[in-house]
Amino acid sequence: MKNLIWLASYPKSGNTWLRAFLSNLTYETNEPVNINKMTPKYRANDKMLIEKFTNLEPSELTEIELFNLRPKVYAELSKVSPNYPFIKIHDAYQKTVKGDFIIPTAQTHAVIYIVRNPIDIVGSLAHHQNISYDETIKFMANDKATINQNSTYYHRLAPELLLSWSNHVKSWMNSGLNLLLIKYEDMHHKPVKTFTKIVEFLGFDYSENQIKRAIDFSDFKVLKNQEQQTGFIDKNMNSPNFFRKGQVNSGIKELSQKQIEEVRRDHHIMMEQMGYL
Amino acid sequence: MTNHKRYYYQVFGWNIASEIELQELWHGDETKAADIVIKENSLPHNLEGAVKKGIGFQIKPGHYFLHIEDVAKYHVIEGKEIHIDQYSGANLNEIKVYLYASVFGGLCHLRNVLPMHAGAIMHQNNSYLFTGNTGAGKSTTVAKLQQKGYTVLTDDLAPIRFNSSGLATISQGISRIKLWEDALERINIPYSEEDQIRTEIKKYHTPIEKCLGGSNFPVRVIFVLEPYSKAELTFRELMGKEKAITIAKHIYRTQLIGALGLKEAHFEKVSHLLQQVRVIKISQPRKVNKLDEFIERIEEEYIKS
Repeated sequence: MKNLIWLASYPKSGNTWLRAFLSNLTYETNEPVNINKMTPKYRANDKMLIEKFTNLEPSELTEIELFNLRPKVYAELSKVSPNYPFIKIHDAYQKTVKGDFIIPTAQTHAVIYIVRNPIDIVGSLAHHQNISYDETIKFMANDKATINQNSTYYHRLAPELLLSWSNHVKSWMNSGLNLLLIKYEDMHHKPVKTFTKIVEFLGFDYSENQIKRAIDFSDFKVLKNQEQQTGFIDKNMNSPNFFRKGQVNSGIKELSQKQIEEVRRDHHIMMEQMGYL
Repeated sequence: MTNHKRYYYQVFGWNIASEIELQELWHGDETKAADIVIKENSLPHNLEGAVKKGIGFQIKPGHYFLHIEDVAKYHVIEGKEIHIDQYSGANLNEIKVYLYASVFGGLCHLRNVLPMHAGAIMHQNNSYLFTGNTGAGKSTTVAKLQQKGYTVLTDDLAPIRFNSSGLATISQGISRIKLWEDALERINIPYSEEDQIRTEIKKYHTPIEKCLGGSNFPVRVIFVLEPYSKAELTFRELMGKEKAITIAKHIYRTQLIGALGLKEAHFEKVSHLLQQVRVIKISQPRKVNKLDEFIERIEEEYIKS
């Protein structure tokens, strides 16, 4: 059954915002959904998902074994899900050592891929990973870049292989999957139009008022305020908070001219293709 | 690896006779009848008549089959026999990693005990369990309690059985605690490469210091460890539906229950357990190290009180 819906993005590109919107849209509560109880409940690299479907102890599997198992796990999830489960994913779209694509095409209904200007990602990712801007710029140009590797104390998440920012975008754009490309900047500047496009692409039936309400309930200030009140389980333990600025063009103010030039040099082809140059 | 010699062990109160040497298990009594026999045997690729096929595992009532490519195939029969067919050149440590986790988990269900995904310690002939998701800190907690003089019963799998009066008890399991490198450093336990559970995994064995034989220890409290994104440490006793849902969530390998035909018996066991134990949810900050404070509080408020 083609029922899996993937919320895919490079980290710090609006994936959590989209999750918050979809949660508020589908839960239809009278107040904003608690950020720790958002849809999707599935995160692609959650070892609990692997444990549930393989009957193996994920903490005793190697990175390669975990990666090889993931497409099979998603196929099983598809089988047991009566509806359309959302799965958040930060991996680039690529093959495992066994030759399977990381997400199974036969069970994939749709992919929403969010792209964000890499200059704006730098500050946000540096904050999230608690590393410098220069280190982040190098990380974003590295084709072996992986997150959640060698995590300490908290081993629930399996590593996710990102590739460079450019190749991350390229991998999903060339996937041949039923994919809708959304720009983070459009989520800010044209929220009703952009979120309505997502709802229509997924084939959901919600009114304009319901969509507007979900947009209001997932406003950045609401999310940030909730994090201050209750904490957020997705926050990196080395970072003071998950929701930082959530702005468009913040990179221009935060990065030095040299750093901006470096990002442009590393990613100019894809930045041009995505309309960021 | 094998010479058809039999080794005798004790785990979770069961006597085991094994054709494979398993140094991680406590020595057993060869004069006693074996509850479980571990044999080397050639196995087919599939379990005939399987009613459920998952990723690498197959089940039918009375049978659990696990196939780990390039390592081994395992067949648990009626909770009394474990047949192992190892791949040529497979590493014995790897064979044992799967045996002690997934295969023993299946064995517990087939032997009609309730396996909690938990570590446990003994104090004054009672047992205290620590459950939680992968990474919650179960093993670190029991290792820290061992440093404070408590006897560890198990670090990851705690099979609960009910005696003739319906009392929930557990016995001591494998003689090792498995800890991540960072956890070992955090609580100052030395480790070396030869203690590594698998070559590519930075997880190491550290010994449980005291053997308690096959004695049963009544379960008094189950602590549910949950990583928390805020800085404070919080304790909350669970009641009613929340207590039941939380315990059900931390039963080991529940995905096997339906296909093994054990659903009704399983719910009965969970219900018996809920009636006699306290369940305390502990939210622990992920970033701030509150381990000492957490240990002191559980000692003062629950274990020694």
